[in-house]
Amino acid sequence: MPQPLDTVKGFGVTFKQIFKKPITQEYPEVKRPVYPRFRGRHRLWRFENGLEKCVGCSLCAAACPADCIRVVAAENTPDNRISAGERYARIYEINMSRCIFCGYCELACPFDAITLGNEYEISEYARDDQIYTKDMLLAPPIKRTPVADAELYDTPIPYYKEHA
Amino acid sequence: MIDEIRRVAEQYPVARSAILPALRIAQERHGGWLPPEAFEEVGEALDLTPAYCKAVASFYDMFHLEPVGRHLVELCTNVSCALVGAQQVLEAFEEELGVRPGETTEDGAVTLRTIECAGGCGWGTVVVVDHRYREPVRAEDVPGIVQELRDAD
Amino acid sequence: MSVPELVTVSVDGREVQVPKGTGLVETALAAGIEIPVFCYEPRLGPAIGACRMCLVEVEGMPPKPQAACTLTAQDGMVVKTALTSQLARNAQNATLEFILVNHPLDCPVCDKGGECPLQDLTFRFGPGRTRMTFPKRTFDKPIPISPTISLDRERCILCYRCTRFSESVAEDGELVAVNRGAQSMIATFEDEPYRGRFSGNVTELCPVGALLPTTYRFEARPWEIQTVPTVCGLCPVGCNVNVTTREGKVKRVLSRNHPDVDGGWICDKGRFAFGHLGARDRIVDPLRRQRRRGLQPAGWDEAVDEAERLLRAAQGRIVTALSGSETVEQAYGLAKLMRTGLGAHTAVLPEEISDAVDGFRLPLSAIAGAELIVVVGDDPVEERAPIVDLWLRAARRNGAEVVTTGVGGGAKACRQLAGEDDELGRRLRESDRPVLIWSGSGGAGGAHVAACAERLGFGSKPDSGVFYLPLTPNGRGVVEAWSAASDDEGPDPDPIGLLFVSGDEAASDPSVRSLAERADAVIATTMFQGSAVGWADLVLPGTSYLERDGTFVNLEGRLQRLRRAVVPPTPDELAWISQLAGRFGVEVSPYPSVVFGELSERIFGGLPYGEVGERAALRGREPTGELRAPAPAATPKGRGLRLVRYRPLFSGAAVERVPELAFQRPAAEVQLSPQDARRLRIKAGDEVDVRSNGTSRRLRARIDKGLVAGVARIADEHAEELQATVEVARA
Repeated sequence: MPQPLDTVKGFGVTFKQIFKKPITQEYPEVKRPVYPRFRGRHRLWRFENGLEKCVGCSLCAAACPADCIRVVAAENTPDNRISAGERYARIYEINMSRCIFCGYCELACPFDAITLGNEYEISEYARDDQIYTKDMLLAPPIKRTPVADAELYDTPIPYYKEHA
Repeated sequence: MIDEIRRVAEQYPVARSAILPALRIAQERHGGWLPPEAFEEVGEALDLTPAYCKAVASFYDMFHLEPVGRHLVELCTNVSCALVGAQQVLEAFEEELGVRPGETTEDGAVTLRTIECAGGCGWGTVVVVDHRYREPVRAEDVPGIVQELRDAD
Repeated sequence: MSVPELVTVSVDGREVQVPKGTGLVETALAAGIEIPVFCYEPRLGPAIGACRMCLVEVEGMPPKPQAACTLTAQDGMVVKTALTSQLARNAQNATLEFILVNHPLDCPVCDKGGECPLQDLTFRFGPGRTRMTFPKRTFDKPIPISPTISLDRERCILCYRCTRFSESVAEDGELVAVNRGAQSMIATFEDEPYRGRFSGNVTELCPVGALLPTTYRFEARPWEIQTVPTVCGLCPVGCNVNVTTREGKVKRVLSRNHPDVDGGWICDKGRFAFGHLGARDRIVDPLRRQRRRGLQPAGWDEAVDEAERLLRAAQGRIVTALSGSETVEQAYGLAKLMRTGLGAHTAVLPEEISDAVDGFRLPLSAIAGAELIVVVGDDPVEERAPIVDLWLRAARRNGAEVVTTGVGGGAKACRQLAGEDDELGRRLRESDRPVLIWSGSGGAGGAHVAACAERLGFGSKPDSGVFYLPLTPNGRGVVEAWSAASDDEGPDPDPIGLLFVSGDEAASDPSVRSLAERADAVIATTMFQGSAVGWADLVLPGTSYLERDGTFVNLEGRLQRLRRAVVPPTPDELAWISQLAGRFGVEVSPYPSVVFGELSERIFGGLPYGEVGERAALRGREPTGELRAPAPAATPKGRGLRLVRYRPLFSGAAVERVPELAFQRPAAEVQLSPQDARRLRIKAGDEVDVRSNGTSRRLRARIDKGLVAGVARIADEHAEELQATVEVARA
């Protein structure tokens, strides 16, 4: 049974929106800042003396719910010292297409060797390119993501509401 | 030496039981300490492995695994002796010989060691010179003892 | 045997009945309660209570915690474990805190991490945080106590499991604890490596990461590995093993306790020889001999075509040489192809197998409970079937007498034993639990010992047993499978049209090689670019026992299941045997389960493949008819000493390709009896010349008290061309 009045009401809602400011963001021209603890692309860290923090213990791989980390360890020798401990990660790979960015690897790491950064623009044309090797993870990522003011997020909610 | 050890071993129901006297014999034969060859010899005589002989010898304090001097000065630093000035006696020996406990003088004459109780608690400080007790020893007696050892050479 | 008295013990309020004398740890387990332990391991002999982890409160005993491992169940005992006793809980917590005082925080880099009893028990019973603020004790690490084992003294908690193993299981006395009290540490003599046939077991016993296999160092973590339960295929014992694999590669081999076969120990060959899978000279493609160009890699289709052509060209004049390392299914498949497909019944079998010994079948573990054991034959038992040697040592510790006899003339010795007036024979006859073991060649598959056993009245004693130690891992199974394939017989071909060599062992057999010289063509299946490559016309890549599915028959006659741990780099034997068989109108399935099913109907009483089992059962005794020992081989006459060759444990194609095991290879030695040594004025360690007409070898002398006068024993690889009688003189 046709309901002419309800139809007109519905269109009314639509017409009203025409005069409102759009909330769509023009990505990628406009990048919305992520909050500071946003979990994006991983990063492996070195000590200040250049040695890798990662000792290849595979605890990140154990913690990973998506099973996207592969670590193959090897032994440091006096003439080939990579990390501070007895062992180092000879191969360290993260399959970014599998990763769910849960941050468990970061939690599991006993040496603070892996952290999740803010980068989320990690699309590639080929699946193989999604497998990040150790060299890629050790290198500082290209900063493409704006990060919001940390102050803003680390304050109590009432204050945030007031000033937003 | 192997024959001597075997003769001693005959007095025991099992040859292995003779390991302590055997090591003692070996130590005497090797100039007061037990070099690796000594364990091989004892092992051969008693049908044991050298590793086992070394394990036993390293447990006991009176077997020496490092070369020792011609004379051995052992000084008790346990409670009773410590109370009557073992530390001063030790320091006197250190000064007189120029070595720290566990070391041997450069000329290979004297080895200084500290030991636990030697059983002469009534007459501390006990100093055992070449397996003979001197008790009590005071710091002022030390130069005399050292001179005695140097003269004996 | 008398039934032991049952006693009632209360553990945490749960009443449990156990035989009197049961250890308290087992008693608690029977009540469903775990008492944590580090040092306790019943297989290592009496408990020593070194680690203090098992502290419990026992009512009626002094009011301090008691070490449960050193106590046994007594009637009316009331035990409170950490579950119900605050005293025990505190004691265990303190014990762990003490153990951890000097234990480094290596868990992320330690290979034991994730499968470490110390980690697990600390998590469950220990303190959450340490109060230790001082620097920990440090040592150099890791110390290679042998090329296969590394020792980390910082991690050691001095439970003495390893030294107890060395002292009272392997009885090698090589691994000891030196120094005393807080300075105690595990060591070998000086810088000598821990040389022993069973050294690798200490890495499995160690409850922390102090003793670890070097070959597994940083290879994988416990959550990254797969475990495949299979059996070892390197000697006729057939120890049950778990193979650890990661990313399709074998990383280590662990024992999988079969209490009747291996008691949870495996030898170093079984543990460390897996490295041969990735040997540099491994053949992965078929090789075909081409005119003037030698052997060239070929595709599989081409290789099978060529094999078919060679088989047809031989017109049935084929000899098959088997290795004894094939699975039962492979041997049966090959036998069907050769015997039903081609009518070629002639084979060079790896072993002489006599079913006479099956009448005196016993599990290997029964050796430990025997009363009098007589070992007959040339070979040291530990070289031929190492785990049997451990059982013999266990028997000796249990009070049995072990006599070795018949070196250089086992058959004669058997005949003598069975005689009326032999002293040893009389004692065997009187003993309730006698065991006869044949270790060496020329045993006619055990017929000699079995006949001897029958005349000694073993048949009426259920606890008596006869063991024949075959030379090859699955020689029994291969021979059984070969003979099950056909009942026909055929004449030996002359001249030989084609020699089919199956496996590396057959290829390195000198008698097979001399056959190859007489053959028109040779097809060889080998894993390595070994000896066969030089004289074969077609080489088909072989696979190892770790890469096969199937069954093995061990020296007891126990049928055991082999599981594929890793995928071989080449199709396995059964795949192309099946393909080839199809071309000759014979149906051989490429699936071991199907082949076994067919074979099982014939010789294994229809046992289904799935029921071979993880822990295989032993078939019962099979009554044999009247036994007649074959005539003993004539002993060579001549001046000088009789040469006795033996095949050392650490030899063969697999071991040669594992550099870590090189230090275990036999030294260039000649073993002499003390009498001969005295007569020849030779001392242990002397350089001697061993001569036999024309050839001479310079070897080092070793005096073996167990050897009889008149023989010189030399490892095969050092004896080389020496003849049956040799003269030994000081160089």
